[in-house]
Amino acid sequence: MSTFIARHVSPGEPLTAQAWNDIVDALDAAFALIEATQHTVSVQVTAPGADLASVRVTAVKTGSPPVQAVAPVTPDTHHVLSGLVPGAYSVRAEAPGFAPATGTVTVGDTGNASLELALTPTGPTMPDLFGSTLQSARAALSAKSIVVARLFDFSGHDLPPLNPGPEFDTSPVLVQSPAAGTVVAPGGSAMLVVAVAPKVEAAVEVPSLAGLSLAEAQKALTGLGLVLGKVKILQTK
Amino acid sequence: MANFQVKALSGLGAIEVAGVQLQKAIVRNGTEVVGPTVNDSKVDAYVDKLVPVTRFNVPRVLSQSVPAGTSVVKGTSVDLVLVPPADVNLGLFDDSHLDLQTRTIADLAPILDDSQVSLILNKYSDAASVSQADKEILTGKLASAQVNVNDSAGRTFNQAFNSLKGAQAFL
Repeated sequence: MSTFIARHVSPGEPLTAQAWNDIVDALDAAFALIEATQHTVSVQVTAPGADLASVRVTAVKTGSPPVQAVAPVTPDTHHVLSGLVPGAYSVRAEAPGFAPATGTVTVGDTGNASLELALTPTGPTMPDLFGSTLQSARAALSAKSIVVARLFDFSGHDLPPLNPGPEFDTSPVLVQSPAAGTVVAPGGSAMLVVAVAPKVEAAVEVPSLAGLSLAEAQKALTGLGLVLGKVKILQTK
Repeated sequence: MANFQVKALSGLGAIEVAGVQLQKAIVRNGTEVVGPTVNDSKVDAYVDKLVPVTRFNVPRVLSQSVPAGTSVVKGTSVDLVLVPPADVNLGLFDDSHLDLQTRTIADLAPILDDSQVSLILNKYSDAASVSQADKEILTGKLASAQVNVNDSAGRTFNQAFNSLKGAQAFL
């Protein structure tokens, strides 16, 4: 790489072809340096039942700080470690519910490298609960040691996750998280949304109370399940 | 036999089980109301001179916070404004008869208390179903009170009948 000459131009002085070429050469040399020293490693992680975006991949080189890979965005499936200088790296992939996988890769002076890592599930797989009654869903989760941490009805009301009451036993599950087939960390939790019959509150039609005495009006309201509110008794001045 | 009272002392959680004299405690807005000792003989003499409160001074509902016909859930609170019927004129009613608009319920008491008028008002729920004979009786009674019923706007039989029906609710 040639020595970069920082040559300043005074106002009114022409920008010569020589000066321009120096700039172009400097940029070209900088790009070549980056390309020669900053490499990427593409890591293909195999983890059945895992969301690849939740898989964390890191690379460690002795004497250098660890580098974390950029998670793939669908449809890509590769984690990318970038900005690596040449050397030997230990690469580790980990995800909730899986045993971490490690591998080594050597980044050379030219070109990029790739690595494949396979994660082995250690936690249970989330069952498909859609349409199951809450009672059977809870049993299925319990069999896999998955705890229901949050429970909602379809209108978004929080229900006690451990004991929502027998009236919800037959409520069908509408939504589950994590999705069916997802590996859950041992002792992990799930969130469910169940359908419940909407409670229709009895409505009454307010009668005309004009002409009634206070006692009569109160009796009429009470008889309809209504409540006597504030009462003002007024007269002309 | 001694009166026994089981009394919970608020804040202490203790229960008094000893025999104690029963006491009446009347509280208004959190403050105990201690009534005066009334001189019965003076009160009796005073009451003898009084007359009953007229029904037109007993407040009646004039307006309500939730309009009639509104569907609400049970437990809804309805605020009321009460006014003595003596202060309620028929001009407050929708589409009332012009000659009745400045009359109060008390003003109309002689008509409303008339047995024939009362019978007709109770017999029919709407003006359209009033028989010709009853219509003439009612029109005559109103005429004697300077209430003219005719076919002119604001003085129809329908308006007169509906005004009286509304006033009757305040009796």
